[in-house]
Amino acid sequence: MASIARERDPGSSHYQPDPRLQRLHRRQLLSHLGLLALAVTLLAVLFVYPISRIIYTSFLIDGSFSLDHYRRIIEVDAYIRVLRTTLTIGFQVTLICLLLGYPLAYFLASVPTRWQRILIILVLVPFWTSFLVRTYAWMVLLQRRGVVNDWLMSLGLTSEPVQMMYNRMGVLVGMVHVMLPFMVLPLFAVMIGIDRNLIRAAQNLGASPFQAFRRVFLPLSLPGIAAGSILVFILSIGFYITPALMGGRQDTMIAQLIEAQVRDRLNWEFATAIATFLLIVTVIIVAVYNRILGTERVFGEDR
Amino acid sequence: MAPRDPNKLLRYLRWMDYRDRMQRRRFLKMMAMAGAATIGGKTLAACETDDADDAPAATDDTADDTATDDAPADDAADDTADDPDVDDEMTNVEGYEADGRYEGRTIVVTDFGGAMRDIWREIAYDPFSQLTGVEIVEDTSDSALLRSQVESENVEWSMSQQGGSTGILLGQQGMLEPLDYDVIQRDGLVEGIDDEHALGCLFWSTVIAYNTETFPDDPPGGWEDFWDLDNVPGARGLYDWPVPNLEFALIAAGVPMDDLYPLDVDLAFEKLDEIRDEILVWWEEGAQPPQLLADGELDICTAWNGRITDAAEAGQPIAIQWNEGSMTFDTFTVPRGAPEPEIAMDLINFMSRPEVQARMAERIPYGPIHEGAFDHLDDDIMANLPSSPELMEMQHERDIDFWLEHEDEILERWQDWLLV
Repeated sequence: MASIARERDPGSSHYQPDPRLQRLHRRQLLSHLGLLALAVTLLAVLFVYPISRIIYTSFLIDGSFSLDHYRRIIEVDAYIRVLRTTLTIGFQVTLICLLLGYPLAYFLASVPTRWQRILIILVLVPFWTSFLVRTYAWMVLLQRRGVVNDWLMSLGLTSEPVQMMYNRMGVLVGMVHVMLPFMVLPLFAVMIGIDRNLIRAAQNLGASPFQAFRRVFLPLSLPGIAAGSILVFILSIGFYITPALMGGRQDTMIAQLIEAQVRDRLNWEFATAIATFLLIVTVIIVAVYNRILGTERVFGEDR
Repeated sequence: MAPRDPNKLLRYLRWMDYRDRMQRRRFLKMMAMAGAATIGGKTLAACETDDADDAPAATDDTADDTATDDAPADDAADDTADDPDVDDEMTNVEGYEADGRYEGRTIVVTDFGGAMRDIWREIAYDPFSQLTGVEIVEDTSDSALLRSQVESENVEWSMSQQGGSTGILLGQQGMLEPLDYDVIQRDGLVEGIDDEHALGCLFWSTVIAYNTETFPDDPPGGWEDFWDLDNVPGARGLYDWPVPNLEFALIAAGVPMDDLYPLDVDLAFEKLDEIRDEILVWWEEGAQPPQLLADGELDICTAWNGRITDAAEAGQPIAIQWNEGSMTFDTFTVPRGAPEPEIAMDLINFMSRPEVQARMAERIPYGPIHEGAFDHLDDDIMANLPSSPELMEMQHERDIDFWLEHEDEILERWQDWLLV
């Protein structure tokens, strides 16, 4: 509403806003704030308060304020090492999801609408199965005497079983399977809004198909890449069931350490300190990423 | 889009405002309806649950339903006759009569779920319900949930089963009621399991499990064989947690089982270095080892004894080497501020009676905590029980106090050792 009045201003300098109009503006503003109240309250109660409690708890030892938990995280090698593993796995999963998801989303956005519905459902099918069942299914496929190794050996491609599980490969396969829809859906949503005539126009002006893709389509799909990548990355670094069941000794993720502190050691203060540490590192990474890729476009600011 | 004439603009804006308000009203109305529907639905659901009087975990028509408020104890006894799931013998436990002393009261108890819950229900929860008239609702144990219930002073659980060191740790953190050993009779219990806040409820062991097809004649005899990569071939697996792997490493290094504690941590890690890269799977869940062994993924692996006996009885080519196993126990606890603590103490006493403990061991291969239970058991059952005198001699017991004191630092070192 405010924008309509402002639009008027520059063209006609003699125009003075009617006081009735101003009252109306205020009412509008108040009513909009009123609508926000519910969301703000929900966020405050369900998000701001718990996070504040977690951060506050992380500075407590036996009820008194202390930085010792953070000192322990920094001084004991294990925590930084596990954090590094966690971030590495997060990046790897994001990258693979992007490489697999981008062509898939491109294809989805190109087929007729009728087919899109069916194909989107297929993309979502993994969500319908329990997470644990999917992980165990991969174990049956990938283990030493599993289905895939049986094929490889009967085709004579390899004489020894290939170790595809209990190492990084197992973790990546399991996690990419779970995460792929989170990459495909935002990419698809952005791609479907891109006017294909722009590509035709580019080609009409002499661009090769690859040039048209690289210089027109790819930049326009960047918001989707940014949104999908951030989503997948943030979800990945909180994972622990798949790495626990399909990973090797060097694939411990930080959520596993937090869980051990919460359930086994019952040291919640330290658990919250690890969680806060992870939160800070994540915020920094997302901020840097934001700077590079310009994620604000996702939220529809400067178009 | 907006009109240029100020009067028209004002009218336009008024109209927009009116439309907005109408939409807002519709929105609020919809919200109110949704809210009413949710609340109404919940109330309805609650009424229905009240009518059915169903315990959340009671899957079928067990005695939970028959022993409701309006069904007195003598009534309940009739009902059991046609209920094949209730263990009649367990209503004849010494010291307990069908007196309905807790008639009309309800407690929530927790265990680890699965097969163990079904067994506890048949041999302990339901018989205790019938004898005393108390209604028992089942839930699943969770140490973190217990702590949050106590800290928020909103405790639902009257009795909760926990791991051994977890139970004692919860006690040390002030999360548990002290156990009332006037009600819980300690005579005849195995020694060393009656902590102030946590009483052992069953024994279990971490043992070597092996594939019988890989080792048809000459099974691995102990940890020295597990460490002997040249002469005892096969893919190996260990539990991804320092307890009890450090014990096993020291035994492999030649430390006698009686002198394990206090653990020589440096020596243990040195010994573990020898096999670290040869361990194919560092398992996390108790269900993994029997699966891995049965699939032929692993040939030799540490495992929890109950899971292996189960899988072997189901026909899988797996067996246990009891020699040099590591034995420990789970515990009964009562959360601090629990409702009906006196019923909880009575139930703990009931569950630790020799008759109940013996029946538990018959159903699932965990060791009784009452010496008297062994009088009720056959030899073939005893052959699979961790705490049977014969098997106990081959094993060692975990020193929970040592672990409570040093677990943090050892855990960090373990984590680091795995990653490097």
